[in-house]
Amino acid sequence: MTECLEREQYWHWFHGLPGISQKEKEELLKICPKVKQWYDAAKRGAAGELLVAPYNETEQQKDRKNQMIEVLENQKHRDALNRSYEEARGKGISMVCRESEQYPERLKHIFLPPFMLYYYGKLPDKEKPSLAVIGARNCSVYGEEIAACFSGYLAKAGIQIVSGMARGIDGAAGRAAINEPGYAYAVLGSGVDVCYPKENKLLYTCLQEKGGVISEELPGTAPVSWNFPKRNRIISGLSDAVFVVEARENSGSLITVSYALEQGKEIYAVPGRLYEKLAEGTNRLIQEGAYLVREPEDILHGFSEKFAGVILKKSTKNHCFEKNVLASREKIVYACLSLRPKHIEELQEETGISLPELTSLLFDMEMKQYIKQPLKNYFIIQG
Amino acid sequence: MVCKTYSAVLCGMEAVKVQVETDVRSGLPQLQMVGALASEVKEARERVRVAIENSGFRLPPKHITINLSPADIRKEGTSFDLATAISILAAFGFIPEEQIQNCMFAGELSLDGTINKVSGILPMAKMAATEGFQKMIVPAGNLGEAALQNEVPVYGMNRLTEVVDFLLGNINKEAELPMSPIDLKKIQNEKKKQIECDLKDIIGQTAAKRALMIAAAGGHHLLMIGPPGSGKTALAKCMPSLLPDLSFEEMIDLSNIYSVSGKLKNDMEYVVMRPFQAPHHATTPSALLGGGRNANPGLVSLCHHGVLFLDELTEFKPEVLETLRQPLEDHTVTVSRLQATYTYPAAFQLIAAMNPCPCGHFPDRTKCNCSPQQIRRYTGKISQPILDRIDMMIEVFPVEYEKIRKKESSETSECIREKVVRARKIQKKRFEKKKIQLNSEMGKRETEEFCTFDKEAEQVLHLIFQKNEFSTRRYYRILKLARTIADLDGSPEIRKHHLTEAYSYCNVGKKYWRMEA
Repeated sequence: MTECLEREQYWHWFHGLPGISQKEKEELLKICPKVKQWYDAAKRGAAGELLVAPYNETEQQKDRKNQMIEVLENQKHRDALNRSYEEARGKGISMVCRESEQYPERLKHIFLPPFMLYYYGKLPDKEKPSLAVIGARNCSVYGEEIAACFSGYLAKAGIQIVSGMARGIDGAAGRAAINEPGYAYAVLGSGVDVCYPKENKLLYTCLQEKGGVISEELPGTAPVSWNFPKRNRIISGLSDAVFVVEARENSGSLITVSYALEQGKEIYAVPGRLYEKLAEGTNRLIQEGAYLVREPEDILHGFSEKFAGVILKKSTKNHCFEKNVLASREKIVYACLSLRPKHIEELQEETGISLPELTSLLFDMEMKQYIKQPLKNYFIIQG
Repeated sequence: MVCKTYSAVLCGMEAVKVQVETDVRSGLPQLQMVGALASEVKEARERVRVAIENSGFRLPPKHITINLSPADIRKEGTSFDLATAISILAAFGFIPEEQIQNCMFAGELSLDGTINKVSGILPMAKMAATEGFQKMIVPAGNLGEAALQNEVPVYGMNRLTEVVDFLLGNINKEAELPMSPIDLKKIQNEKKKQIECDLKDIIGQTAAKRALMIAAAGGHHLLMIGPPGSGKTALAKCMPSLLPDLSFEEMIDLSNIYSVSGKLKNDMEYVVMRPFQAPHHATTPSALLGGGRNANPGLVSLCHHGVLFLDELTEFKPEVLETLRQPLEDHTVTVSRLQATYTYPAAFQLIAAMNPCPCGHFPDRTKCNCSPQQIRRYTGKISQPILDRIDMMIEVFPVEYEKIRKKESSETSECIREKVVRARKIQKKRFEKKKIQLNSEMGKRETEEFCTFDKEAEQVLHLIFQKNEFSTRRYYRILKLARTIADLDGSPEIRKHHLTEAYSYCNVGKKYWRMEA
């Protein structure tokens, strides 16, 4: 008698089989698209029956075939995967397989779509637009600020923000978008129940409640380096466009961009100064045809045709100031500030105001929320 | 017949009276010394015998026994030679006994009868004063040091024969006059001219200079963070030139420590300038705190009333840095060894310098590609308890080319020192009835009493507090620092801008350590 399992469990087994690449698995599915059949055949020890050999099979192909049959029929793998499936269910991890209705529509059309997605929270809504915000891990304060400012604004306008929850740009984007429940998602390179990097623990828990944490890796997978480029195809796959904030030449973010281009997504990039390392990647993207982004509206505009009904048009800019509120001395200081963080000493030199007075002015302006201190004693205008 | 003379042994910072007793009787000709002696004191037997004979005295072949009492304190050092020789000479009747009754002797003898310098003369002379001695005979080289106390007349001698002649009344010698505070001023002014580091030679760095001034005024510990080559070390080296001159009492305190550790050399009879110690980062805990078999004072005591500069703070071994906790808190250090446990003063001002990350350029991301973990691991070498004891943290930036070319003139150390002295005067007056002298030494009660602020400042404090979730310790730290800034301003109350400035020095560290505000 054949046992009857949940559909996801068959896929979990198939997805989790070690030693067979995804490409090979796709080949197997071409021979027989039903995973349940594979499972039952493997259990009976008759996987070989399904694997019909072509006429002119080479010696190598024969060997590989036998290896695969061995893996498929391996009792240990089957037991371990069944156990891990139960464990994942016990942990409250949601799962969707390729055949499931909840499986994101966007992913179906990419190259090598994941067999399974494990997630906490929700999956991105296919009705709503979504944008991947990516960039350097060792980013500048300016980059973090831009990522946060844009993501916060766009999430409010109704765009789902997908990122990698990495250090730097990704994390900043996630943290800003999480303020808008249901608009922040992260795709991890580790198992969905493994928080990496550790310092984003708070973001990780917030995402579970207010957004979604997604991974194709089996639960419990450690954050190993070779999984990260792979997950980038999901980040770009889940989004309608990719927004690159800061990237060095040869940066990992550019891998995501190349996936996105393969998948036919729009690329948006923030320009930077010439010869600045953190801008080399983004500037090159712009040169190669990415959209140059000057303000959040530029991205909104790109989405407006396709998602006309969903996006909230925002006419009022976030950063509009009534300059009159500032005292004249404060205006002098404010004029010296931009989004690039300036240290108090630099300000002192530029304005010529003494340190005690300057600290007092800056303090007032910070309290009035005209400026902020991303790092201690470094000031930027409030975006 | 038993003949007694007096000398002294050092126990930490204190000298203890030692009685040197000589007994001469018939028997096998022999010279024997007893009384818990270290080997250098045992060797005095030969030195003393030969020195006496070479000075022209013939010792009859008798059995001589010498006892150094109290016999339960271990005698170390070479300062007993003179007292032993005099005691032998008196026992043989070369010197009348009543001449040596109220006299203290200290000095090392050469084989030819000359008297050499020894360490620890100043505490010995102080002890002589308290024990009621009427005169003290010291090596000529130690004369200036011994005369720092002004109660016992001290006489400096070059040769053993000179001492005998003096005791017999054959020659007249004037006692050395103790140094007066006026002399000290003169010597200090003289020495000041030799100081090479002056703030006016440092280009730019206005903010850092101001921070140094505040640190000097209130005695606050300071940590400078900045990329390599930004001038942290140069700034720190100027610190002594900003501090007020040593007062007479401080000078005696300090000379005492240097005397005990044998650091008063020929060209320096007493310490007149504030010490500046910059140990290498490979230093050991015992070099820093004091130690050795006899628990000698370490660097932190040698820069008592001065500056301890720790360059490349992150390179120091954690166990070395952690040992600084006690002296930073109590201004004293207790050194315990097998032989002894002593407490030495260690009221130093800590100036430390470090890079923000392994490459040194964070947060300039165009140059720095250190990952956040790397930075955290690097800065994490400095523990929270040590950071908590540092009042001020500043960032130092490299000077731009244009400024180097422009050669703007800036304030001299002299000018800044005047401001510091003014601020310190205000503090001195404030703490007249208290035991402390500086704002940084204020406890909780003093902070509550003296750090009064106006309405506006109170609002600011409230806001800062709300925003940062301060600990109480930080609260008092900010107030103390604001008090110093207000003193520099000559303001009796802490005003808003004093507080905001103090706040700007307060938790730069948050950026590097992610610590509570």
